[in-house]
Amino acid sequence: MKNNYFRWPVTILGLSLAIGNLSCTDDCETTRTYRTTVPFVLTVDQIRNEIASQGPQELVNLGKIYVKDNYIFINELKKGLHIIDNSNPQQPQNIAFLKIPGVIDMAVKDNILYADNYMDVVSFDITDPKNIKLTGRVKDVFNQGTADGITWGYSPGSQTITDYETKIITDKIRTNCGFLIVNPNPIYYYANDMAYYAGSKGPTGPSASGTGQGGSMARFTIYDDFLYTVSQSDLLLFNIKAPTQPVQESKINLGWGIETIFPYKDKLFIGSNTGMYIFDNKNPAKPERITMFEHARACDPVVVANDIAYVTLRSGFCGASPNRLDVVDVTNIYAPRLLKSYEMQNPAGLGIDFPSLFICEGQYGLKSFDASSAMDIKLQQHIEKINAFDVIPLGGKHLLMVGKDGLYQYDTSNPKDMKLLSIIPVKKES
Amino acid sequence: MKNILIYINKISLIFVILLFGSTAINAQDEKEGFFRKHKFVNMTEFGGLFGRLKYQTNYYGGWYPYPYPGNYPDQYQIKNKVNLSMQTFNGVYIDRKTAAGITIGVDGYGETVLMPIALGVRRSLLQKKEGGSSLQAGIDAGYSTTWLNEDNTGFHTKGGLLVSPTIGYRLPMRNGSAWLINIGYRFQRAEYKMDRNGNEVYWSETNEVRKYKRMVLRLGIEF
Repeated sequence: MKNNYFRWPVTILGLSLAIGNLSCTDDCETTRTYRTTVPFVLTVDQIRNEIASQGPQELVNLGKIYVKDNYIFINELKKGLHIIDNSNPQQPQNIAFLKIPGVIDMAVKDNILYADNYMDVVSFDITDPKNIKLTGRVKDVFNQGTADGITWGYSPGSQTITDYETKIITDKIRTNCGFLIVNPNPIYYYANDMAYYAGSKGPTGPSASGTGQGGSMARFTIYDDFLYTVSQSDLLLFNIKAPTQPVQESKINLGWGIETIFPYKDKLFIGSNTGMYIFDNKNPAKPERITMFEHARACDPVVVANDIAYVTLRSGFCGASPNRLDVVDVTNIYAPRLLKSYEMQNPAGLGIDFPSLFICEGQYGLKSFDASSAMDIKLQQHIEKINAFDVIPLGGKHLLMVGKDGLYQYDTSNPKDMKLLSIIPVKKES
Repeated sequence: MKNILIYINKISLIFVILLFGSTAINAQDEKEGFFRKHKFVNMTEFGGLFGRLKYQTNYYGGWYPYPYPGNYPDQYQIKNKVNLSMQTFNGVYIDRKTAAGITIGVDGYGETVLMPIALGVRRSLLQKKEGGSSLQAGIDAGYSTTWLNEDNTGFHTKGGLLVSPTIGYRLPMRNGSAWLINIGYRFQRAEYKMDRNGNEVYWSETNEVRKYKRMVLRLGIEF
């Protein structure tokens, strides 16, 4: 027992020393991960000189798509255009890449491709897709543009473009254990673009004038001998009678928030994030505003078929609206009339190949509807587990669908049972 | 739905405690089997958790990387913190000096309330006289649950490891119960996660790993 009396004090001393050594300071470390934009500046010379025709490159960050005959043009956001030979839809070939800094939109007429090059509009001869030549340039057309929620700006005085790249940043901060949350500042941020959603054109297919197919979300469209482009606030008209060198003709101010342009018959449907403008285009050199159909603040791709306009509204950069499909009767162009609204999940691009209506539901997949009756649009098939943001139906037999994971082609001869023809996958970021 | 589950959890826990308690007491009353051999013991204590905070004060929580790396040294501030802690230890004497059982507690750390469930051991280290005061050591180790915790919208608290060694006095009363004074250390881990918020371009999410390291001082009763 004597031993015991000696042993315990030692143990106690040891224990208290151990406790004493352990600090009594809370250790709270917050790992904050955020996605943000970091500015970078490009000079006008850099932008104008960096255009190049290159070999095929892997798809990474896809934007709009445009179809002309057997070629598909896929926008690699603000980097360039992938050119896909789609002669055999089961085996599309990635044949070339056209590097254009700042490209978001494109349109093709015959063998001439028009695209934006940050502030400029450029034209290319694409007779040989592997060796594309720059033929013309209209300088200083746009002052700003938006893609993927990021707006670049042009400063004519300093001849520079300020653009932003996205970054994911991880910080570690020692915090006071929740008594002060590392709360990000509220986002006072507003962009009104959906540049990465292209919709699709109506059932007419490539028109007789030799232009290709763009989307309802396109900002470029060709009608007759004119190239129409919309900036954030203006409708800009280019005369392309001499196809290789477009000439800027007029500028019509539309107010803020212009998103898309969609030609239908002799009308132009211009989507802004508060409504849809309808322009009479009987005289292509002088479009005249007829009316405006207002809706909730939303992103709103539009397609028109048989005098029925299909408008999808979704929440996103453009505002907090319900997710739905509006069916609007535009028979009387002076008084568009809402026929019916349908609930949707998160509709983005849409395309109509009457009577089939295809709607991309973002992460919810692709849906095919029977739209024979505007008052009773029925779901025919829902392809889930794919990301879909843009669809272009091609002449009743098949459609192109682009999502975050790549370019998909489906056989739609039976719209109740669409069959996958091919996929061009996107290169995964490691 | 989630709330209902939490309530079911809480209610079932109370039942488990009651069941455990009543069977233990019944068993003790009947002086049968296991509890005849091993006397049931309850130690219920209340006290405080004393510690400090050290946190960075010059972090700019904006949407741009700032301050630029290396430009400014981190600045820290120290603050004292005291929080409430209570716990109840229910167990049996496995030998004359040692009791083992389950410890259930409630520790409030500001808005975060943790409810640790742990295995505990109490052992008398030193006793000069039979029936007199003794020096007692104890250790609890287990997991802190968040069953009693309510989260702000968009935040999720997760519990974690608990380790708490203590040492103190057991002062017997005449009726067979005893006062307890314990001092020790309490380590508790928890996570506080903020869901991603923002839009597709600008979003932010955080995860705070909390290691509470406190000195604990408790007073209580054993019977």
